[in-house]
Amino acid sequence: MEIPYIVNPRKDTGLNNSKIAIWLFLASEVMLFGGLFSSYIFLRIFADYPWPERALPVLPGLVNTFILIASSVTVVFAWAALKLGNWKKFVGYMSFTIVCAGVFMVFKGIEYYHKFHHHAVQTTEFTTVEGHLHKESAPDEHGHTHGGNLFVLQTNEIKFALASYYMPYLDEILKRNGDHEIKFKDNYIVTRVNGDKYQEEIIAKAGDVVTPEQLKVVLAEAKEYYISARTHNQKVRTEALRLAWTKIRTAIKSKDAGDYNELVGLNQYDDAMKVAVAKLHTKLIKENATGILLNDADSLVVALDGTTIKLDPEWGRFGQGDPKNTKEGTKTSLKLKDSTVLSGVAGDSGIEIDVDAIDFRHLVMKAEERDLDVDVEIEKSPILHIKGEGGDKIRKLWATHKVWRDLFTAHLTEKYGEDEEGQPNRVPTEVDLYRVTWKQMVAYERLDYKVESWDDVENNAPTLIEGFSGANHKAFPGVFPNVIIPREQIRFESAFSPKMNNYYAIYFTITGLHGLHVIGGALVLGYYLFFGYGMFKSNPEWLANRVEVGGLFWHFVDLVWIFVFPIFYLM
Amino acid sequence: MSADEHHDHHNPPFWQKYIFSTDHKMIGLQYGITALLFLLFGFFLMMMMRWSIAYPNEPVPTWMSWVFSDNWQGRWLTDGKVTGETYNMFGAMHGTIMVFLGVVPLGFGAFGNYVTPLQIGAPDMAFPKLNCASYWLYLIGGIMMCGSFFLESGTAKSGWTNYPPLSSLADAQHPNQFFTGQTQWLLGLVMLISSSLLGSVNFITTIINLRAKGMTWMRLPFFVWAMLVTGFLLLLAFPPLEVAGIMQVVDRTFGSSFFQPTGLVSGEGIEGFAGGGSPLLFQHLFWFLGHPEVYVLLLPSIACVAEIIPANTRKPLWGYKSMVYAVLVLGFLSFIVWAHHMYLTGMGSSVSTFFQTTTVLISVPSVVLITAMLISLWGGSIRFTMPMMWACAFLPMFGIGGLTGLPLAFNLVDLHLHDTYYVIGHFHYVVAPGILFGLFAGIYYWYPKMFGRYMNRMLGHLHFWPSLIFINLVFFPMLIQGMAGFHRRWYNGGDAYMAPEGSEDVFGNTVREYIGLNELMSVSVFLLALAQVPFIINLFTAWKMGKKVESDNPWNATTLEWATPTPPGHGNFTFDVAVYRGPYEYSRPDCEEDYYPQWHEPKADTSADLDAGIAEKKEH
Ligand code: HEM
Ligand SMILES: [Cu+2]
Repeated sequence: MEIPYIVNPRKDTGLNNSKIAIWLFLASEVMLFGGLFSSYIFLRIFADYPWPERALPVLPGLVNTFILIASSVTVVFAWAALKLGNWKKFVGYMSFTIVCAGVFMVFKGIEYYHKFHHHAVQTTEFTTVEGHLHKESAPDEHGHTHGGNLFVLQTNEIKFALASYYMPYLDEILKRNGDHEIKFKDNYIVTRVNGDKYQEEIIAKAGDVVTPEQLKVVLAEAKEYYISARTHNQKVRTEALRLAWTKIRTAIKSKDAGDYNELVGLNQYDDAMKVAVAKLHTKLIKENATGILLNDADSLVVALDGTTIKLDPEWGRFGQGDPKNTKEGTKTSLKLKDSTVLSGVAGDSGIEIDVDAIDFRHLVMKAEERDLDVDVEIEKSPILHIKGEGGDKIRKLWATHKVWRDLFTAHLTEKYGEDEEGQPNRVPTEVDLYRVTWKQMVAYERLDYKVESWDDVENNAPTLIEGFSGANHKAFPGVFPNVIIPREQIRFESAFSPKMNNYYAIYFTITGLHGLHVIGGALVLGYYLFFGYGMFKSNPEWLANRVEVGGLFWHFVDLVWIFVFPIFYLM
Repeated sequence: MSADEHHDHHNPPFWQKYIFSTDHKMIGLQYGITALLFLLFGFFLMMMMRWSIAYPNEPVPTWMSWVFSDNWQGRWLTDGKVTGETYNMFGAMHGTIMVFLGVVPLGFGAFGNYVTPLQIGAPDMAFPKLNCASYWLYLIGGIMMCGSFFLESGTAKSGWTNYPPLSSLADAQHPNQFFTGQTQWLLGLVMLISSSLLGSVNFITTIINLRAKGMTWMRLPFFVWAMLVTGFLLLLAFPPLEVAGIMQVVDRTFGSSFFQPTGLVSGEGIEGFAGGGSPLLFQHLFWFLGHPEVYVLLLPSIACVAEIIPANTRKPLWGYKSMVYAVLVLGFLSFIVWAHHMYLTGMGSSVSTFFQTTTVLISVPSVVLITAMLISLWGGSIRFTMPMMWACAFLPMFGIGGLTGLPLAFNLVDLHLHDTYYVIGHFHYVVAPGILFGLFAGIYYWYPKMFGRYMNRMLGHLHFWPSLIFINLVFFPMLIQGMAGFHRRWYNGGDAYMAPEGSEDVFGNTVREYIGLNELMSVSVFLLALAQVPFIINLFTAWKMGKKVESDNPWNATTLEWATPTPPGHGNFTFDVAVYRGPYEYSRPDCEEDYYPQWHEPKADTSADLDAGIAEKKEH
């Protein structure tokens, strides 16, 4: 059997099968990226926070645009070379195309890397500072560390949820506990069934000291026991409930319902009926000889001696969003995602950050919503009241920025004039007004915090090349203030990952999918390059068809990027 | 195709013939069997739900609960009763399985695969290997979704619509997001979408390029047209849902806030998301697929019925051309009605009005389709064969489903009916006694071609009549309850809202008045289940013991699938296929027999046969 029109086009449609298929596939791809771009528009229009505009370094994006366009051209040349039967030229052009794809991905990778290692901390008043977090260092004798974003808890007690405790958390907690003492807080009793005899055994005895290894063994045993006890108990309870219903049903069906006379005529939905069944159920469980319920306590509690345990906020829903109970010295308990609960006293969990941008836009937005004086609200921001050297520097930066923005506002009015009502035709953007960028920080430092003319800053800022992929802390030592932000002032902390906000979320999603398309396309084209020679010899027309189809896909990938670049880098 | 070419494919190894087959017929059968198994499972989940609705305070009886292990029951059934959370899992999975793993694969995957290439006279699909990949992606996706029943988190539990923030908070407490039901559901969905993407590209290409000589567009059987439109719906409507699925996966695994509004508070306190996202966005993306999906469910079923009716009335399909145009218009309009599912979201009255208008418009082509088929019965010499019985039942059942949908199109009425059992009753009339009956008709109709034997008539009747009666007893009361205000997704059927006699609570009294219907519906469901037993027996026994077909064309039908050997071999046709006339040439006065197949060469000496085109013109 042979499928027709694989190589040669059908007369009346003028197309071969794969040509139709690729256009259909691209139609669905258009819907895919159409959906993504529509989502972008939707998210941007309905954003209730300042949308980051032009937040990505333009140069790598621009270079990548040209790389992709170039590769789109060479893929056509490669196809033309095949049509002319020139294998060598095909190899040349196709290799160039694939190298372009590789370079594109490398740039993309660098961009991603910088984003993932750049963080922002938002205070409860919605000021955002961006920068680099310090790496976690070993705690000193008071348990004070400021590395990373970790929640410090002087832990007295841990309650493990037997059904769900998660090994990686447990391991990490035990590691951080070091060789501090762990004691069982309560007994954990299991019932062993021996023939028809029930024998109780304590596998965790209150007050016993355990090593981490022993604890793990006991937890595993208790988990297994808990699940079987739960299964057993539910079986017993189910049987009893079935029996209760049958009994009551038969009773009220009989002429003389005896104990249940008052139920006659009711249906199963009536409250009286439900109450009667529930009562009988409890009674049956108690009475029934087979109805022994086993101990099915679903947790096991251990006591610790107030050791400092540092918890990753990702492990639960604490330390972020809800700043109460996080202030140093408050008694608190934290629930991890696996339902483990740690109780103790909150330690010092401030976040130490080298600040390379200060952003009041969100604060301003909130203030405007409530009709408050913006400048007053900014001055109240805790970021401007941090003690010490770093705090001083932030205050200095902000003061300088205010000088600059006034100069800049005046410059715009002067240059573009005013309308009939005396309003300036051009005003600075929100970014100009309320955000201190890393480039401005460098410029202010170079100017020794004395700005005399609005273009001082532009003239002293790092060049495009110097700032190729964003703030470079190594190249500009001493510029970026170092501060510690106390935990109770933090509303949100994140790397510049999808978690940060929906601008980055949609940016990573679209460019990530686009990147996968680049990789996929390069693999297909690479396949023709490396394994196509056999087909070139046997059926060159077929190979040319395939390359054409691959090339069409490649053009589409390029086209998507043509949309991505302005939307994310320029708008 | 020559005979010796046929030869070297004759004995492929077992795995190539039955497992990783690239033959469209075997893939069709694989799809069919898998889909029927999923349907059975989806039906079973629904029985558990119906038990909980009718008897919320009683343990699930052992004849149902034995399917689950003791440990599973200990985890998910409290005192043997279905809990709210468990009900949510069953409900979400019932909907998902029925729609994505049952009906679509049966209609499009199985019938589409088996019948389409045969009807257009093609040796196979344009891309047999893609076809195989498509089936396997479907199976993997299905297993991922259903396998999550055994995870600690349980399976997906946020409805088949998976609306955030409900769905984003569900299972969010699990440290390992990958192994949660919600995430597996999303990943499974991505598999299914990839599967249907491959499938639809393949179908459309096949229909465009692999038609036999003489098979012009207007000679295509209606079935093929329906498949073409279905293919386009899948191709273009699914990607936005894939977008939504990917965005939800990103939300779940990277902590983003695509669908998380600012300041979301749950039982655990304030959520630690950045916020700023939009739950409404998800609904738009979901229903952009969701509505066309309804037609993806429907069209293959209508397509089956449209083939069966002419063959069993011995009369051309009435208004074939208007049906073709109707189905094209339907396909187009189905892309611009989606937000009629969202009248109550506060998206704004002008948006609502737009979608209300388009929704009313789309009822026109649907009515054209059903009317054309109804009129096709008029004056026919109807043979009540087994497939015809089901096809005849399809018409009024689908009619009820469609007509009960009209009120929902109006946003004022929807204010009252939205999310009630009325909606459940409405769309189940479409999908169960409508679509499923149409697909049953298809099974009875093409079974003789697939296996060379008829299905048993007696068992067929035992299947048909109780099914027809009980399915109406299940769904009609739902419409009544819904109008009284019974909300969908009540795991206890309203038990908790019922007011004692003499109470002032109006709603509680209404619930009291109509709650009794629950038992009627649930008992009917159990009897309905029983009514499927003859079908299952029939399906397997007829394979070996059914009455053998007398010829390759047992129904004396006109379309090309009946020109093949029974069952068709690899490559399908044993002669060079050419088509000479339209698909439904029945009872032509100038012919001796009451059917004139598409592939019969006109005899030069009978003037009527000289040109099929002339004959066609005369008729109109
Ligand atoms: C005889 C067959 C069927 C019966 C008796 C039945 C019954 C039910 C019931 C009782 C519910 C739950 C209502 C609620 O609690 O809100 C439901 C939901 C649903 N069913 Fe069916 N069903 C059947 C067949 C089907 C079929 C064939 C499909 C699809 C093609 C389907 C799709 C759905 C969907 C999408 C839902 C909504 C799930 C959700 O709430 O997310 N059902 N069905
Ligand atoms: Cu709809």
